[in-house]
Amino acid sequence: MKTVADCEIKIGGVAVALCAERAAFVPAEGLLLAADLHLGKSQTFRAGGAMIPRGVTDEQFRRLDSAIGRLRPSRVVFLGDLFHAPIGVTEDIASRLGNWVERCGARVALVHGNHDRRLGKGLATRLGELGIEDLGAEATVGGLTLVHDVCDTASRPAVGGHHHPAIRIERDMGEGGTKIPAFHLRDDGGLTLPAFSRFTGGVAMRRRAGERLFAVAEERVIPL
Amino acid sequence: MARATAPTDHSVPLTADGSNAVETWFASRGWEPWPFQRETWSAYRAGRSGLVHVPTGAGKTYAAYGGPLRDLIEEAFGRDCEPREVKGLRIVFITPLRAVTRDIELALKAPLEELGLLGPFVTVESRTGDTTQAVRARQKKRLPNVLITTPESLTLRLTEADAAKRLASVRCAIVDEWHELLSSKRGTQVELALARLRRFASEMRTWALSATLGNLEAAADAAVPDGDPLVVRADIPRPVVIESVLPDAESPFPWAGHMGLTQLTRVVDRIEKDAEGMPARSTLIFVNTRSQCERWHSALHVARPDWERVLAIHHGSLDREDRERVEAGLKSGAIKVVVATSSLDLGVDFAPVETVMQIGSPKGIARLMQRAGRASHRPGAACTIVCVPTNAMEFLEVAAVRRAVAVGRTEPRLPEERPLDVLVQHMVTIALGGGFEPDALFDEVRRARAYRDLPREEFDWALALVTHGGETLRAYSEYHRVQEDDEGVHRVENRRIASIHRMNIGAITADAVMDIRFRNGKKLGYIEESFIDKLKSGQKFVFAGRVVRYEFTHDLTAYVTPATGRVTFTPVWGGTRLPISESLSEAVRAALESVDNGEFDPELEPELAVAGRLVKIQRRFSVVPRADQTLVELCRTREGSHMFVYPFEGQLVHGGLAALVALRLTRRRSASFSIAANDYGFELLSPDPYPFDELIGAELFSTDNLGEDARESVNLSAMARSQFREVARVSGLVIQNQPGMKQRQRHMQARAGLIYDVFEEFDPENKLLHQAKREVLEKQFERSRLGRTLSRIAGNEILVQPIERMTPLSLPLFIERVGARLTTESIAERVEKMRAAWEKAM
Repeated sequence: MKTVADCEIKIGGVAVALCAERAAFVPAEGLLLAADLHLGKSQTFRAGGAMIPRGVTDEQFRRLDSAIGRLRPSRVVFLGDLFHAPIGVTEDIASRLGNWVERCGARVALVHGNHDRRLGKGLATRLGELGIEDLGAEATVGGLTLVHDVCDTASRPAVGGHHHPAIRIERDMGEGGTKIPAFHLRDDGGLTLPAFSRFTGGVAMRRRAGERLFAVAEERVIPL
Repeated sequence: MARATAPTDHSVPLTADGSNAVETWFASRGWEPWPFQRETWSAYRAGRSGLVHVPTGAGKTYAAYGGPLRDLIEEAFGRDCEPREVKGLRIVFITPLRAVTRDIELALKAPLEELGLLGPFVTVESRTGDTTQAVRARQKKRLPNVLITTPESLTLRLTEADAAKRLASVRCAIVDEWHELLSSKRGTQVELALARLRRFASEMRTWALSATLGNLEAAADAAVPDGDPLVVRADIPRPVVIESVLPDAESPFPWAGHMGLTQLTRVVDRIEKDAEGMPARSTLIFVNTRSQCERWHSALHVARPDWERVLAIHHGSLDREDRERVEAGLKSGAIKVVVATSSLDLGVDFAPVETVMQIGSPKGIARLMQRAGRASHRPGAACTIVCVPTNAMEFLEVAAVRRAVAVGRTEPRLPEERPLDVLVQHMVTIALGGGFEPDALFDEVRRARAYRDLPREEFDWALALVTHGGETLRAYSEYHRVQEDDEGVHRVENRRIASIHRMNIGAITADAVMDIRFRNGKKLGYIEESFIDKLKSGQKFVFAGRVVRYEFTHDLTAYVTPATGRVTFTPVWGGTRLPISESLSEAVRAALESVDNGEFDPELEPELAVAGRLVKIQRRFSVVPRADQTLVELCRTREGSHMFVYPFEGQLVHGGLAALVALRLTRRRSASFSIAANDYGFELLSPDPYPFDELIGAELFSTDNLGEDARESVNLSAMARSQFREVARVSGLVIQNQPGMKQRQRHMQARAGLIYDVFEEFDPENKLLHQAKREVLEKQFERSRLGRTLSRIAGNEILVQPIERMTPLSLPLFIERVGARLTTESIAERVEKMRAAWEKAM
């Protein structure tokens, strides 16, 4: 990875770095946050007949490794939708995730997302096998509420994912330009991370009063 | 159906030496064959293939059918004139229109019925997606002697394991509406199917039927690539009379806009009425878009509530049953006036109408001719089309079409060049239908015109994709669609893959549409999701000629309830507006020059007199470009610096050209431009002052580095993403229909775009990705047309004209750009003010 420029913000008095790897880092806690990995999405689509090229999952793990190498967190919490769908969580995916948990050198935990819940009872078992701590629907770490969707909780400051925020770079011609992922922050202290997975469609947001957006432009995070 | 008995009394003189049963049948009807029909019959007899090009309604069907029909009759009667059962498929009749197969079936049956052959001795059946299960089961055992089918259903026959055996007996393939199929992937699909049929039945002859085309020889070659096709032209005088509904000299006329409702009363006046004031003759009113169709239908309804019973609407988003009811009503005379889009361009061959009107731009020469041809289907009779221009420039277009028709000019249609997605699909089709050896299949597909130059490397890439998913997917067995058996034959072994493939055959890709239904479940039709997304619950809009209230969306269906009251809100359907054709653009430039010089006869070309009012104002405030000049108008307003350029080359080309010129300008001095384009020109607007006058030069329009610059100037990826949807679906990279479940179209939509991104990142060398990009450049931007436009401008004089205020040419562009931002009312007001200012200044 080239020089990576994080963007430092404060939510509810807690310093948080928004990282170009599509993750957030809380230096005071040594805490790395990432949302919406949707592991097994390629496998799910392949099961549905779509020919998805290989490499999506590998790239995700490489990006996680790069963030870990750079920031040296002691704890990693996935903010939901770690898994895409039961059919996609193949033994291959499980063992790659298990290997990563072992080698990352941090404690790894998950707050549940709507996609994770599709695994039903299998989720708890799976997390147990993988050595991932199960935090249920919501957890509090270092003054931050960690949740899948910040709209689902009244606690603030809060960090979540779920919405896959993005911004549209308008072009004069063509159909709607390009979308790039973005962090979305409400003035009340609700922060939504972009989807960590590149194999997700972003939801284009427009900046409204009381909200801020931070675009992830390659190696930099740019406040808008 | 009455049981036919063999005719014992041979009123039909049939002899072994082959007296022509078909001619006799014609005579029995009191018909005299046209020379072109006789010519086609004898060419067929001589073993030739070819293309029949005659005006719509002149009798193309019997021209192509007569030859093989005669063989069929002779075969049935034998030398001893004793009728016997004919076994095996003889004639395949391919039509792109499922809706007309029934009419064609009746026409093809008629002569056989009269001879008492139909039924026990000779069978004629259709096979389309609508065919009943009983007929399918019968055809599985035994195909009829004459089969009427669509390209998709024909391809399905090729997936049958015993295809070679069942299709070897074909003597003749007839392709109807070839001009329609030719320039689409469906046409390529037909080319491949014909190549396959020729392999099974080496003696098979092919006859394509086509309406007016600018490139008949190429069309004939595509249908008959390895023969020496005969092009049969009919020498039938069929004058096309083009008239216009003219505004009176005093009344104001819009300078822009496309809806044309200011012409409503004149249109109503123009429809002939009986003593009670009801429409006396069947009338087709063609419009260019579905929203215009809804608007005109409701406006007519308001203007003439007494016509309610005889007035109908027809467009592609309506439920099929409703459309069929309208078509039947038109045929029977129960419905007199139909407002229609191109959904009625084709396929009403057997339902002549008496009056045809065209609201708005004719868009193209062939298109207007085709629509005119809907009027009175008697061969040789003149057909009249009444044009209703909606703005001043469209008067020029109408006069330009008339001039082009007079000298016999029309547009060419270009066939597709080796689309890889269609080839990939075809490979799986053939693997199912008895399997293939790669060398033999390579040889066979290169006999289809579209693939005549197919490199082996591309073929092998496609083969790898279907056998093991290509390099990036080798590990996944689910993509091993085709497998090589011990003898080297490639086949589909997996039954699930087979059934998925059969369900997804074809090259028609549906838009992202939702069903629209009443809450009781009655279906009204389909509508673009993007429209529904903008609606709020309770909002009223017009659909299928009714006022409805939007309630909610559930399971990809938008539910509405009937409502009352007047609403002018109509859905604006997606899709690019059809640009005016290249041939028409050229004619428009010449017509504009004639108006400026006063070189026309206002009696013969009254439209030019109307356009003259606009030209006069244009001349007063700016200049009128000659056909060998390109006008550039510059002005500053409180919005910023504007540059207007008028190549008169159609909206798509202007969109591409505007992006290209913007890119080249920003290389010299950076700026941020907003762009507007219409059929006549384009506008670049910089919110900050920008020295256009210093930077304009021939280099802006140079063809140097066109490919590179075009790629850089438009957001190719964003556009290729939507094109990729089609490519991915046709090639089976994504699956639209799954057995046992109705896949939600929306998911499929989101997926194709997403999958495009994944491919671009993880498999950038995928050839299907390149194909999507190439198709965007060629289709969306008409790249070759863009290049020709640039060459033409390079040879032109560039006139740079500063203007003080909007001119008649720039105003429509201004409206195009602000139209997206402002409400229609405020635009109308602003436009009205400008026009008042012009007229005052005159």
